[in-house]
Amino acid sequence: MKFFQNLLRAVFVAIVLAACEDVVQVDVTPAGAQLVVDAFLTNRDTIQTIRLTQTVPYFSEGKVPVVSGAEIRLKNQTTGREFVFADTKTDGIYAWQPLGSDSIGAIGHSFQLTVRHQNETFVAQSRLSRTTEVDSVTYGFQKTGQNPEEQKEGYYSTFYGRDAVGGRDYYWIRSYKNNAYQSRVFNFAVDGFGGETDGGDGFPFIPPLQNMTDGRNPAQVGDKVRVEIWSITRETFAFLEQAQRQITNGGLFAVTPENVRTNLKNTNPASKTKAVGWFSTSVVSGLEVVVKEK
Amino acid sequence: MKHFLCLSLLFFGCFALSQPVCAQAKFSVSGYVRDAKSGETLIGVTVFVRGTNTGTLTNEYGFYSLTLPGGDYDLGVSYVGFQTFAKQISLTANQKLDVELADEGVQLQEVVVTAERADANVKDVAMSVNKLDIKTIQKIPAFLGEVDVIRSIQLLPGVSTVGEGATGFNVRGGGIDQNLVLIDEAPVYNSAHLFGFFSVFNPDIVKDVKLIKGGIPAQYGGRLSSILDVRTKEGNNKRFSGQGGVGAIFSRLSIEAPIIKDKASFVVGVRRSYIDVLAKPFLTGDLKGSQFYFYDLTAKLNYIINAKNTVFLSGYFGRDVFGSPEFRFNWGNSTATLRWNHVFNNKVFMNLTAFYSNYDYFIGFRDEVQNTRFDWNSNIINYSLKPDFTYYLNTRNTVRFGVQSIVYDFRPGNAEAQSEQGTSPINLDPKYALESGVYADNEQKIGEKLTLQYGLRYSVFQYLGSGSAYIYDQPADGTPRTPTAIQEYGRGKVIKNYGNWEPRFSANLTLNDRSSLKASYNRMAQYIHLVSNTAASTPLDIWTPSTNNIKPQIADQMVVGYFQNFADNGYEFSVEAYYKDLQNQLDYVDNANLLLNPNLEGDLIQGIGRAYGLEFFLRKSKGRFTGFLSYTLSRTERRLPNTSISRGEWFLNRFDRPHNLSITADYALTGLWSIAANFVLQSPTPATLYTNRAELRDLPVLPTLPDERRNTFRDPKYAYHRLDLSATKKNRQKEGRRWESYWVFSVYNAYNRRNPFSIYFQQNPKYTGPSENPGNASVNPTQAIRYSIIGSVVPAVSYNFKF
Repeated sequence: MKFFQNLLRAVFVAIVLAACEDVVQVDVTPAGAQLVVDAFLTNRDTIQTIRLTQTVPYFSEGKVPVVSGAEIRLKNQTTGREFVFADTKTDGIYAWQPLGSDSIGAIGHSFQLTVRHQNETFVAQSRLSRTTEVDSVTYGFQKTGQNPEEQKEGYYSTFYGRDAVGGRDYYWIRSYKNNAYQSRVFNFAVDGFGGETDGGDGFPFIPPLQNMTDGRNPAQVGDKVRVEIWSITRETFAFLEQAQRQITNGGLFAVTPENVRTNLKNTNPASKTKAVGWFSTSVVSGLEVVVKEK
Repeated sequence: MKHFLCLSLLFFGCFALSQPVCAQAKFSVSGYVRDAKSGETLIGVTVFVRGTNTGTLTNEYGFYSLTLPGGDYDLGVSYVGFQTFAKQISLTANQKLDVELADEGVQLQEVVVTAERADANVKDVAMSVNKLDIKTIQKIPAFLGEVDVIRSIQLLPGVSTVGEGATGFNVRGGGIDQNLVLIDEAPVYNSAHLFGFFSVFNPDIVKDVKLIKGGIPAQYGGRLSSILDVRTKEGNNKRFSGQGGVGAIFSRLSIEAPIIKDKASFVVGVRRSYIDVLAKPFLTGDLKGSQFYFYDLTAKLNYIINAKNTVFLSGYFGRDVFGSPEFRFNWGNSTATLRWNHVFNNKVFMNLTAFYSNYDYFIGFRDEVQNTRFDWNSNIINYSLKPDFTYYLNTRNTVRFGVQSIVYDFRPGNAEAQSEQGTSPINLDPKYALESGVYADNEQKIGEKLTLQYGLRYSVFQYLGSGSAYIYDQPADGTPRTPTAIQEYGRGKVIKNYGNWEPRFSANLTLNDRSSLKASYNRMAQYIHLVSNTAASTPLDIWTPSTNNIKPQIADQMVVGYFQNFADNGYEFSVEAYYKDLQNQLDYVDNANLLLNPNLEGDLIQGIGRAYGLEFFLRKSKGRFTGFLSYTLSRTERRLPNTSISRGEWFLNRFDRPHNLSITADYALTGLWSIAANFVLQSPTPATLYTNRAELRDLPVLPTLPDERRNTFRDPKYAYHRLDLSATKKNRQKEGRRWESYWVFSVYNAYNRRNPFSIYFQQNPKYTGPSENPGNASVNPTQAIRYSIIGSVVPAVSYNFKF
């Protein structure tokens, strides 16, 4: 429903002739660093990575400190198989490289992630759910818009697809330009719709979800554009929704800033140390096209 | 009905004991007081025996009744701005006396601000009440030159807002849904046009505005913090007349005329904004076909059937519309009120009100190419019947009693998605409720110095079927809850029942002719709640009834005050201190989903609140120089015990503004000009700011708040202050012509202060994160934003007329 709030805000800004935003300096006292777990895994046969870092003061500009020397294990609770994610380059990236067509598991399997670091152990759960297919990707040329920063000239693409019939499905719809993930096109769906409501079962994805293009970075002729539909759990959907709401928070209809949830739980209930981040497992479908002159 | 009987017995018992048995026969003189020029009834006119302290005031319908021992009296009827009416009466039987007051003439009327008995500030038992008559409101320099009721109210002590342009207002630390906003007794659920810049009240139709913040009499119920009682004109029953204006943003026109001279009249007023029309040439590209405007229509019809019966029919209909070819969004209120005033005898007056009120919004998306559509609407509808009686028992006691029932029909959301495959409805179940109240109240004079008003209201709320009751086993600990069972109830079956006794008490101890001490206590219960977790309420916010999971909100408020007038009532001064204790305040779990969520109740939690403050008010109402100064020192806090929200500790409300000062002044220059100024200085609202951030590869800036406390940041440099100026020029009236006109030139935010609505932190829009764009190291990942609604001087001119 963030979409509606954005629209409201856009409408409001258009109306209020004088509304404005300025960048200002604000001093806040940062708290101590926390462990950050970035664990979005798929069951593809490609290298699977988990990144460990630390939180930094909000206005910090440098690179975030990476955390090496932790122990990370992923357990497929359905098959009992365990995967070790190793930080071979001590760069905070912990990887597992499947051999051949191996993968972490199949649809329906449950997983537990265990991260052990500095005498604290965090665990998180996830599951592999089904995804749905991308039917097609189309694109069209658009000229520079009213706001040239937000709508540059180039090819804007749209995908078509439909929710898998039956049950409630959650998807993270991710778009890529020349293999680079477009973090500003942030779409996720419950069945065919944008939010947690009934009625979207088996429905085609509705317009705002179909947009694949970041207006600041549209495709040009020869660029590869790809959309991927990652199946996610209900909890991961809630995480993404909350993260989006907090990341884009502000203005007249801002919600109260709050911590985005984490599914990493400290196994020692007496410990006050908390981790930040998320563990998720996805099944992926996708479609890539090369933009040609029209 | 049982409670009603109890109350009646209780009250009449009181009088029986307090009244000496009189041998001398008593008679009443009663009637209506009206404006001789327009036939409009006058509210709050003093009717008194000259040379004594005996007197009464006309009620909201202009009716009075005065009971006196038989004999000869020199009766006076006085109202500021009108010539005092005097008449010798010989009271040997009950008699009826309708009075028409002639105004004091144009010269004086110009400088009269208050249309209230001059010493009401000191003498009335009511406290924490601010009355603004439309002439006062019209003198305050206004945003875009458009006089506005709610924006004027925000200048009064104890009233604040979360920020410029936000819908609604906060009274003594209460939420915006804790104000009962009434237009001719029908509640208005969203009082704003254009989000919050203008209110729904057409100032040309408004007759009287009363804001009750404390010592709320028993006749009112249903909201915790205040009653904003707006009454519209009846319409001129002497001759055809009208008024209107052409301004920068909208135009107004209203006409009023007799239907049957002195018997029946109507008034109808319309407003429409035309910023969309003016902007049309500039709307190109994606903005082509954009719509944005609002309009409203207010109308009233009244008929004086005979001396004992008058009926009124009034209605309001307004809408805000935004849209483009692909997107439509509109919302608005409609209300209708039918009232019947009946005088049973010289001592008993009845008003019977029946009203209908509806607030709804609609959102629709369309894609012609793909032939898809998504439509969504939501409503709150209610119907009510409300007889109120006033019994003018004797000169020392005035008893009010009555009952009210409101039927609510909540439609939290109906949506429909359509594509080539067909349509898919998303309907949230409607919710039904019945709210009833019975009250009795007596205003009693004890000796020459003390006046008491004591009353009791008993309110009942029934959450009714047909509907589904969600049952949760998990306690409301601040995390989203999933229902463990859903129980279905048939039509009309009571799902949950609540009842509350609401005692009300006010006292006035007159110290001398010019000063008094007042104290009051009231308990209020509120059964319907606005579900909103954004800084400013949006038109999409829905109202929800109290349910088996949502308890009614309760407030207890205590107020003490000192009231003094100076210089022959030319200055009024008051200072009041209040403390308010609030229960069952609605809050939300983290990442609450409030729209189209069938399990909404699982995302709501309730906490406690407290608010306290000191209010100073000084008003100068006579002479060429008039105006008022108000200053409030206050605090408003909330706590969600047993949750992790703000660690379960007390935290400041988002709209907490410890210091709030406003000064409004008007000076009538010689000749045709008058000038006015308005200055506001307020503490900034507190903010919750992230202190740290995490970096995920696909979410480059994930903000964190390890401290977990809400609203701890406040920097005095973001204080809100603003100066507005205006000048009014009357045009010379042509001999023998009724056309009067004047120009208003105004400057809002005269010294160009960029007041922040909020400070917030965000990911730099240029920052795309390390994995996507590793070379982009020169861009700061994050930034702090000062968000201002009005960032410049806003000049305006308007032309206004009257005939």
